[in-house]
Amino acid sequence: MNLSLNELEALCRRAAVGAGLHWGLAEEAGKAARWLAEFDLPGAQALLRYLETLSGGSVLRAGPVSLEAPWRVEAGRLCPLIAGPALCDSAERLAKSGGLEMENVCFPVLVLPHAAATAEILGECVSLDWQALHAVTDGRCLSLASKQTDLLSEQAVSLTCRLGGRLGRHRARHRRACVSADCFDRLSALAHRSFAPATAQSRMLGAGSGCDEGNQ
Amino acid sequence: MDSSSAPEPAHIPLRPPQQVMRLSRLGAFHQSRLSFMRILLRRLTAEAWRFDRPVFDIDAQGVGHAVYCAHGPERSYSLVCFAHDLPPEKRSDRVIAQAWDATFALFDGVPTGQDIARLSRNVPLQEAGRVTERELSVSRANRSVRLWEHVVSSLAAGHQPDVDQIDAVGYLMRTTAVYGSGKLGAADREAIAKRAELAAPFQVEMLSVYLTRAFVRDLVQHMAHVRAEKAGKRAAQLDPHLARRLGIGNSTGLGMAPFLINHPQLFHNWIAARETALQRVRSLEAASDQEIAQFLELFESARASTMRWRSAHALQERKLVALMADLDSMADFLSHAELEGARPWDRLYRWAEERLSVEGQEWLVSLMLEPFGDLVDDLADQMASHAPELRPVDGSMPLARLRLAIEARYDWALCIDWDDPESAARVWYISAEKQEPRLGERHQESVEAYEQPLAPGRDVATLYAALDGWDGAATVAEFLCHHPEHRHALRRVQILERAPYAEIRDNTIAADLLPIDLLRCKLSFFGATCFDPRSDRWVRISMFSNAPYPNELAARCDPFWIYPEALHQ
Repeated sequence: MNLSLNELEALCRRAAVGAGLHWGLAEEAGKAARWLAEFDLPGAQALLRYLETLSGGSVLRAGPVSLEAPWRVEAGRLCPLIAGPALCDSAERLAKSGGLEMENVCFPVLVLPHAAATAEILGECVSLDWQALHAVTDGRCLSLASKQTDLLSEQAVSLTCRLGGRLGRHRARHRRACVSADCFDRLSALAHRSFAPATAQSRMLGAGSGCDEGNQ
Repeated sequence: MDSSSAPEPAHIPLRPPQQVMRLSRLGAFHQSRLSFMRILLRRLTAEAWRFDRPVFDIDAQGVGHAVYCAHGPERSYSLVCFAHDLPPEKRSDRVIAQAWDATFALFDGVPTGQDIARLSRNVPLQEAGRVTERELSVSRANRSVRLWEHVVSSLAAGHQPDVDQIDAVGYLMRTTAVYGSGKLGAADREAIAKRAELAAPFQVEMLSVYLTRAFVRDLVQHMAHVRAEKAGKRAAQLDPHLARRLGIGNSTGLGMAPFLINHPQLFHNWIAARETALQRVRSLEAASDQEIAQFLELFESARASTMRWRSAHALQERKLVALMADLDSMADFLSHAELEGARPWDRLYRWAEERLSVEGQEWLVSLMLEPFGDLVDDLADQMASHAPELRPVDGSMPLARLRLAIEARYDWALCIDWDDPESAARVWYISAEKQEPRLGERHQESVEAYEQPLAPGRDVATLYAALDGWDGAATVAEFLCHHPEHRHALRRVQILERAPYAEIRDNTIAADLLPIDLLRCKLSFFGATCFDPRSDRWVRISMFSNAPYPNELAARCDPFWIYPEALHQ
């Protein structure tokens, strides 16, 4: 399916809320999926697969224990939807340390857009490595050497983020997003969970706008 | 403050957010020179845009399609219109409707036959169809059955429709949704925002509605001709003066309400532009005879149109009664040559602030900008937001500074007892049934789990409480690492550091919240008139009433078209 970037972002944001994320993180997830889509990377797909692994509230316990390197959770795997924004929040810290490591990150591709935002804040390139994947971004441009399997890795045992790096061949940036019908439908199903089912009570209390002039 | 004894400020300050960003004031805003419809028509006139109608293929049942093109100096845009034969039982303005009297897409350029064929398979379906990045908006409209029939039958009988009936309704069709900015697959706002003609907010949507109004006039005339021909008669041509009174109606409900809260940076830009315009006018040292004469003339014409403003809703009726009294006081004040002397506009404003209702004050603010296009129109360029709404959080901010920022800008929210059931009586949520925003009762319905983040005051107060026990030297990054649930509220606090008008300083989930205040504020920036609330949560308005039609723009470049009794008529 060919979607506008705004549609994709809104769909992913709602899906993240439907999967139980708080709004601030869901907004970041939508923005991240949009950024990845602009580079024709499977962000929506990775997001969907990650969201489908979540069960009520589990994500809140999946942030780094502290911002001292390496980033890890007490037990289990690091949530990319918390670790990514945390990376961007820690831009100044990264500028001082020059690099940081994250352990056991789920769907590490979802961290990449936040590395880009970090690069934009610092005005310098940021490099990201996991498995055989090497990405460099200055926020606006991206160069990437990887296999498709690494892009959609469910987990990176170790993800390294470094300040600096040299942009290689720029990946093309697109104005539309392509997602499979299956991915769209499943994200929509998650998004639907954020909508309140109508009840006789809500109809009676007149929650609706009621703005219908019908045949007047 | 007594205006006669107050010391003359060296510099007129902007009105502070504490004064402006209250729902009662935002809900009393009026259209102004900086409203988006007026920005659009100023550009179309100044750049001498040309208009044509390459296709009008509508049959005797009123079914078919038409294309209306607007050609600017660099690009053309076309409204592709589909007219339908809608059975009365299917006519609904609700978002769940599946058929309409007319459906539209604004096309980027001039469509080919293939484009029109593609659109004909999708646009009539609205949400159930898909468009592409060649389309900039998708919209639909329903007839005012009562006025439509009156106008068609009058013209078909060879005479003009009754002006009172035209004024009583005000429109032949009302839009029930105008989708832009990437919805249903259309082009993203970001893809077109750098074009000069679309840089100001909502220019795509305004152009679409403006061309819709031309189509509706042609369609009603066509249907009158068809009916007259059947009877072996000749239909009258709708008098251009009557046609000009007709706007495009719009019924706006809660769907629009969250926009201002969801776009804080953009909202700041709108308010900052209007406030800066007011500041510039108030700072003028003197008024020329010509400016005074023009202002007084516009005052009378705006007053005359306000006298015709009707609302059946008790809330608006009360406001109108106060406004009428305000206009009498203003007329009295102005009749005493009060605009002579130093800083006359500032004196007038300060007099209004002391003596008039908020509705009257904001009416005057909009009118005071009118004679000063050269001074304020450039502010239109600052009303769009070019930065993404979701700016990065500043993780390096120390929590001590965050606390101070909250205390300074959310003091009003920290004063509210959020445990009081009345303070958090409402819940904004999206209904599965309609997939649009709704306002529920927190303590009577089980909808809290679906709450949308539309109560910044409460959320920031909760964030403030969560900061208890944190060292002031710790950073936002460290705090969010442990409390990612506060990210949304925290970002808003940081936005307000740069954009002081970004936040409404009122409780948006209070038991006594009036959602129509949010609607009215947004619609005033569109340039809507005739606000007629039908309940506390939906409002009927009119767009482009009294505007020249596309074919009249070149000859009638009247910047004050919005006032029916305006100059040059």
